[in-house]
Amino acid sequence: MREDNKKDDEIYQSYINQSIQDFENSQSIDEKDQRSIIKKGKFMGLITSIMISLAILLLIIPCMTLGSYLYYAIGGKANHLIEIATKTVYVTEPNISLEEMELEEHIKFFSMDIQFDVFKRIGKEDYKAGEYLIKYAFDNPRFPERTILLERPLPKIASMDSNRLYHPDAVKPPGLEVEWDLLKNLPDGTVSEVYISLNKLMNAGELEKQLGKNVEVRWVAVDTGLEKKQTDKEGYPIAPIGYPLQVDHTTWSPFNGRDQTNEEVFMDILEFLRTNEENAAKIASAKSLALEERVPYIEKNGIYIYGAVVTGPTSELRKLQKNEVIRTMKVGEVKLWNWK
Amino acid sequence: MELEVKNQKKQHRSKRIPTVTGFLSFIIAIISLAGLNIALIMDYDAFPDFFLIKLPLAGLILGGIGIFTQKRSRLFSIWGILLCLFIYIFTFMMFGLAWSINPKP
Repeated sequence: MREDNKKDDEIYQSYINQSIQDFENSQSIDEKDQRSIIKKGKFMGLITSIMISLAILLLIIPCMTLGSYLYYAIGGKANHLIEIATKTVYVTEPNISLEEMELEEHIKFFSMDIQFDVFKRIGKEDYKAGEYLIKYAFDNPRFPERTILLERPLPKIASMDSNRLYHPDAVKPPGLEVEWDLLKNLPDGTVSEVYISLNKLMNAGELEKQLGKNVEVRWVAVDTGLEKKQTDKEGYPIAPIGYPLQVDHTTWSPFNGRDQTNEEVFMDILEFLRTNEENAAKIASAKSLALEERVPYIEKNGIYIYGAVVTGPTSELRKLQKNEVIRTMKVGEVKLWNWK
Repeated sequence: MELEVKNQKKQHRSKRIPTVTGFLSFIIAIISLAGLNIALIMDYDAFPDFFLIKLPLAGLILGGIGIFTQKRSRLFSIWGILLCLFIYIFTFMMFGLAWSINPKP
């Protein structure tokens, strides 16, 4: 029995030895080649790692750019922000219009810049009043960078006082008669833009009748219930809000008069801005828009105006001093004759 | 049995070496991506069609050849094809998205 076991062991051992020898013989690659293969393998591994890392690094900027565009395009976010900005300008800046066709947007990494020119109608021609640049981080606008090209620009922070548009019940500051003297001393061959405040609230149509056909009412300031005390409920100064009275034939202007009157468009814009007030307030030059208080007031009481921006030949504007409805006047821009 | 072992080894060894076409495809895709990055960083107005259309097309063709090559690693071919496809998808999506933002003629 023991002998059998010993024999089996020997057979087993011989098989093992045979297999080891076979295995060693099957290794056709000598040590030098093996080193070379390992070297090649290492090199290929290194090249693969470098190329994959490079590809991943190069994917970062395109992916971020694509992500930014997706952020601003999905749900029309960018268009919504542009709409807030342009509509805010129409209703908060007297006699300012813009060419929405020329508006340029530039999308960067999760930020967007919009740039547009604004225009003022003085006499019968539109003059470039400035350039606006609004920078957004995600959907939060910064305070707009305004490059104003006017000779008599309005202050950066607008208020009732800076615009010289006073409610009939508000206190009139002294010394405004100087403005009539300024108008008297301007030559007849010029056209001017003046800001007038009225003695009483009236309809826009009524004001146009009062002023006659020789001047053009460009923008009217609407009574919103806060103009008397000139501050909102938190004590922040407010600025006039209003709308352009004349139909703007520019294709993309909301006041193009095709489907709705300017008054209806004005109310729609206020409702729209009311839902986006935080954003609109940053774009407006006023400290506060207070639309939550002002819009219901207008809806309840109707659109009545207390001030306007009027343009026309300087000689015709001088005659307004005798007009009973005008309480105060401030001269805006003056240009050479273009009244056709 | 011995033969089988030998064949498997040889196959295994050659599978680690990538195809030349796949390698070229990957290199072309990386060059295209680099061009795209430069165009995005420099904010070019002109459309870089060489980097966004012509090079990725060459990369796709080479990658396609590489992926059907037997007994070689297809890793680089797959990377090349995916990156070139990404560049096409990126270009297509950017056109669509840019058009939908402020769509005034």
